[in-house]
Formats: sequence, C-alpha cells, structure tokens
Amino acid sequence: MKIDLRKTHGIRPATPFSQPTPTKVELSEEERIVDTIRRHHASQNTVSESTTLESTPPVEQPGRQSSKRNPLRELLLLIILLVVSGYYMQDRGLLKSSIAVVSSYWTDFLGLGGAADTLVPTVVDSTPVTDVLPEDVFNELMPVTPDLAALADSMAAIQIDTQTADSEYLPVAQQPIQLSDDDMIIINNRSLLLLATDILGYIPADMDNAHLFIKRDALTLTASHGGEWVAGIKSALDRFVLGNYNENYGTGRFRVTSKFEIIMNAEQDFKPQILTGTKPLLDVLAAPFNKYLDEIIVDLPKGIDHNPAKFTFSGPRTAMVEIMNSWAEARTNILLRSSDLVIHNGTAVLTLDTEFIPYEP
Amino acid sequence: MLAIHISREALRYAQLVNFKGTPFIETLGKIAMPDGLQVPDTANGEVIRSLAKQVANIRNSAEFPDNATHVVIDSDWFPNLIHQLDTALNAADREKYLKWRMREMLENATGQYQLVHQELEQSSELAIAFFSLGIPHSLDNWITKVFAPSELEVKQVILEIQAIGDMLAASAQLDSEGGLQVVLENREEMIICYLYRNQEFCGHFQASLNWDYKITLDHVRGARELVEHVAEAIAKAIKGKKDPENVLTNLLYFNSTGDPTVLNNLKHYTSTCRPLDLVNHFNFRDPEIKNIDEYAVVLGALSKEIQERFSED
Repeated sequence: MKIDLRKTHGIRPATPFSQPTPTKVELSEEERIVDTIRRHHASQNTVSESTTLESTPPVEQPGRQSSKRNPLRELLLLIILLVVSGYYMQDRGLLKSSIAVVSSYWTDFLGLGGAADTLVPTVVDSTPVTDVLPEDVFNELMPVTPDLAALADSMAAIQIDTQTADSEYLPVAQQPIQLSDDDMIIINNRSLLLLATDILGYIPADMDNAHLFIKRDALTLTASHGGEWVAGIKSALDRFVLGNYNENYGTGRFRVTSKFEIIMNAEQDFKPQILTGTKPLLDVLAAPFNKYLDEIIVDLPKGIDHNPAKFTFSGPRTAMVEIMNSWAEARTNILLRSSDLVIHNGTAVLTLDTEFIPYEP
Repeated sequence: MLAIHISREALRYAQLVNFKGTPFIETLGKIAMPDGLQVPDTANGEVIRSLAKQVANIRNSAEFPDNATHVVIDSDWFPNLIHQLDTALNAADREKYLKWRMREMLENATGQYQLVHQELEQSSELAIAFFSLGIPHSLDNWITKVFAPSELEVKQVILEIQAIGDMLAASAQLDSEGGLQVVLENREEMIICYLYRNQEFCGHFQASLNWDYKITLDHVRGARELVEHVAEAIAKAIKGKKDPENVLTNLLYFNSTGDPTVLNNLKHYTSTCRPLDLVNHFNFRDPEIKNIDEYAVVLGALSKEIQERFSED
C-alpha cells in the first residue's frame, strides 16, 4: 500500500510493503557508538530481545603506547623472590606444610581426589590408614576401668533421653478441614461482604456520588473522582480476591473494574447457622434492620429451596456497613449473588441479591 | 523532521534528527484532543483552529526545528472498504465497478470525495482485493490550514494502516512467508487489529473489550469471516485458553493506551505471539521514555523515511 492522501487518486496497482535488503555496510564510528548504546539499552530492557541481536562489533580502542617494561627482567625478579621466600619458610619449618596445604587446595579444586595424592608427597600423615583397630589391641591400649564403664553407661542413657525428647516435638497431624460446597458458599458470602465493607471504608466520607457493585467473580466501582484513597481499593482486593484490577478515568469519572476469584478463607472452627425456613432467615437478615429496610422481594411459600430473595436497605453509610457486617457474621444458609451499593448525596442504598439455599453438610 | 499522528483522542508526534548521518528519535510526545473536538470533520472551523494551535505548540517545542513533516491520520476518519473483484473484469469494467461500489456506500455525499482504489492482493485465481478510500476534496485545504501557520512543510499524508505496514517492513518484522500477520493494538477498553498478508494490508477491525475480556466487533474492514476468526482467536488467547485450532500464527501486540495486564496471557503463546519490537529498531535519544509502544504509528511514519534516506547514505 502506498497512498498519499493528498496526491494519490484513481486505481493504484499493488505495492506491497518492502523489507529493507540487508547490506553489509562499514559503520562509521558514530554509528557504532549509537548501535552499542541501543543494544546495551535493549539488553537491559528484555533478556529475550538480546538473544536476537547480532553481536556488536567491537569499538576500536586507540593504540596503546609501547611499554618500557622488560619481561625477562621481571621473570628474574620473580625467581629471586620465590627462592628467598622458600628459604625463609624452610628456615621457619613452614615450607612442607604450606606445600601440603596448597596441594590439597588444588586437589579439591581440580577434583583429582586420590590421584593427586600420588603426585604430591603427603607430609602431614604418611601412616597407612587401616579400617578398624583390632579389638585385642584396642583393649590392651584402652583397658575398661569402672569409671570408663560408668561414663559409657551414662552417655548411652543420655542418647536415649535425647531420642525421647525429640519425639515430643514430632509434628502432630492436624485434622483436615472438611468443607462442603454449601460451607464454601457461606464462607465466600462472608468474604464478599467483608470486601464490600472494607472498600466502603476507603471511599471518602465526603464522596457524594459513588456506586459499588460486587458479584461473586467481579466488581465495579465508580465514583465522581479518584484520589489517594484509590490505593486502598487495590489493597482491599489483594486481601480478599485474586484477579485483575483496571482503573479508568476515560469518562471523566473514576472507575475500577476487576474480574476475580475469591480467596478461600478456610475457617478452622467454621459453624454455619442453618435456618430451615424463610421466617427464621428473615428474622436474622432483615428484622434487626427494620429501620433501614425498604423492600424485600421473596416468594415466601417457596421456602429455602433455592428461593431468590432481594433485600433493599437505605440509610447512612454506617448503617449499611453494620448490616453487611451482621450478615457476614450470621453465616446463614444463603447464597449472596451480588451486593449493590449506591451512595448519593449522603444516603446509601444497599441492595443484596440472594438465594436461600437448603444446607447440605 | 516531524511526524504527527492525528487520531480522535490525541495528537502524537515524534521528531527525527540526523546526527552525523545517524537517525535519532529526538522527541516523542502527545497532546490530548480537547473535549468535543474529536470529530473527524474537515469543515469544522473550531477543529481546525484547535489543531493548528496544538501543531504550533509541537513545532515550538522542537529543539532542532526541521520543517519537513509526515502526517498520519486514522483510517476511520475516512469512508473506506475492502472488496473483492472478479479477475475476469477488464480494466474499464473494474473501474466502473469500483466507482459504483463507492457510490453505493457514499450515496448523496459522493461528490464530496475523491476516490482511491488500491489493489491489495490476488486472494485467489478468481478474485482480487481492493482497498477503496474516499478522501474529502477539502483535505488538502484542511491540511494547509492546520500546518501552514506553523510553517511546516507536509511531505506526505498517510493512513495509520500504511504507517504500521511501513514500520513492520522497515524493522524487518513483516512476515514475508505469506501467512496472516496480525498487529494488535491495546487501547483503553478496546482493541484495534491490523491484518497483513503477503506483505500487504488485508483487513482491519476495532472491537470493544469488556471487563470479562469479551470482544465485540465495532468496525470491520476486510473479509468478515476472517476477521471473526481472528477476533475469536484473540479473545480465547487473551483469556488464556489454549486453542488447537488457533488461526493466529503470527501476532504482534503492543499497548498504546490500554491496560497492559489485559494482554498478559499472550505471553503463554511465545511461539506465535510476541510484543511489537520498537526499541530495537529506532535510536531514541532518551530510551527511558515510558510506553514507547504508544507511538508505534507515528514512528511507523518515520520508518519509511529512515529506510529510504539513511539506507542510501
């Protein structure tokens, strides 16, 4: 394609984009410097990119001035130095042990093992090593006196005690937590409600316009403006869920979206509160908050057999936080589908979309 | 030398300088388009005044002024389509058909445009693809009004699809083996894909990207079926689903104004998807500039110039 919008008209023949033909051009010094800087930067940025780079031609160094050093004279000085050092160490009795130490270093370093021993004479210990001293020789050299026998007995006793003591600290296998699907639903209800109250805590009190919508795998928060408080939203999400986090100011409003999975909080002593009818459930979920309750939409005769129910509360933010906390700690047999909180001119409207479920342990 | 990319949301620019025969990108920058002036209307005086003012700001910010300027405009400013023609048609009938097809598209506004029909490729023995574009007669005058007050000499005005193709070619990232090559731009809540095949442009689409990574096609040019296949494959790849029938064998992606984490899953497809490599193909005075990818189009406009001018040197 080759179209200049001001000059090209009519029917144009095909003109594919053309690759540059690689030509070996002798680079100037500036080009080599530029190339080196660019490649250096590229290698810092991405390791993978650096693998595709051609090798950078070395930049010519200015010729060094010819040195006045004489290698023969330096070699002679080195030999004299070695001879003097050797004489001094021999005089002090250190020469052979130093050679042994150096040779052992080299043996270890080169991994020669026993082979090196044959090359370097062992100075420290030339006695052939035998496996075990014969028992009769040992008994002759170390007769067992009553004191030694007592010592041996006490050492054996200590050893047994140690083993006993160690066994006291063996890890005790914990009873694995057995949770049913319904348990996890109830635990995740709590996590979602706590996440909502946590986020609500970060939204500034003077924010007169905000909307927080949370469902079991996603969240949307819009507010009239962002600010430092936004960092709190991210940290709240990090505590409760695993997922992405997208901030957007494109529409002139602050907007966060996140798609996530709830971090499972395996409560050690989890005990759900199982209520077998709609009335007991409503007694827990709605009755204490009658003052703020606007509406309940529920099919009462259907009972708790996967019966959807929608609760709407309105009032000050603190009351909404109290409701959500109460619901979270109630751990009743409901599935919280979503929590929708709208703050407008100081009033908060909370809609909790739920489903009453029959609990199966 | 300057390159300026005019899009709906911003003016992006890059300045190229010649340092002892070596091309350097001296400056990269962006100016947001004022609210309400994102309309691609060459007759709107307010748009012209605003653009002229912004261009003057860009011109004045250049440390080594050079009048030559390349202008890139997004293709969605102009009516365009890609269509197939029967190879059996002779030249006269082909021209008649192309004109008729564009008249059908432009209806009463046909007189406002001059038409360009760029042959793209012979997709089969029976069909040739053409890219037809309607350019407003007022464009030349519009360019003059926007750029002349800054005393900039506009060397050429091209579309972003051409700038990206030039950039791929100049940076040796263009697939020369004939396969489908997709360049994916990640913008805020949307993706834009440029499709190339046989070293030629073959399609283009814009799609909304939902928070759950659902892709909704908004604007398509090129073979609809191919575009839908590509969009579906991209949606699966972005979600991290391995698809054995993935049509994507060569995808280059870059983040302009979009959230980079959206494309995180593409890193799993290292053999077929890779980030667009700009850093290695341009000399930047300040290589630490953030999000160089955002300037892919404007750098593309300069790449042809670099290729032609400096390879000769």
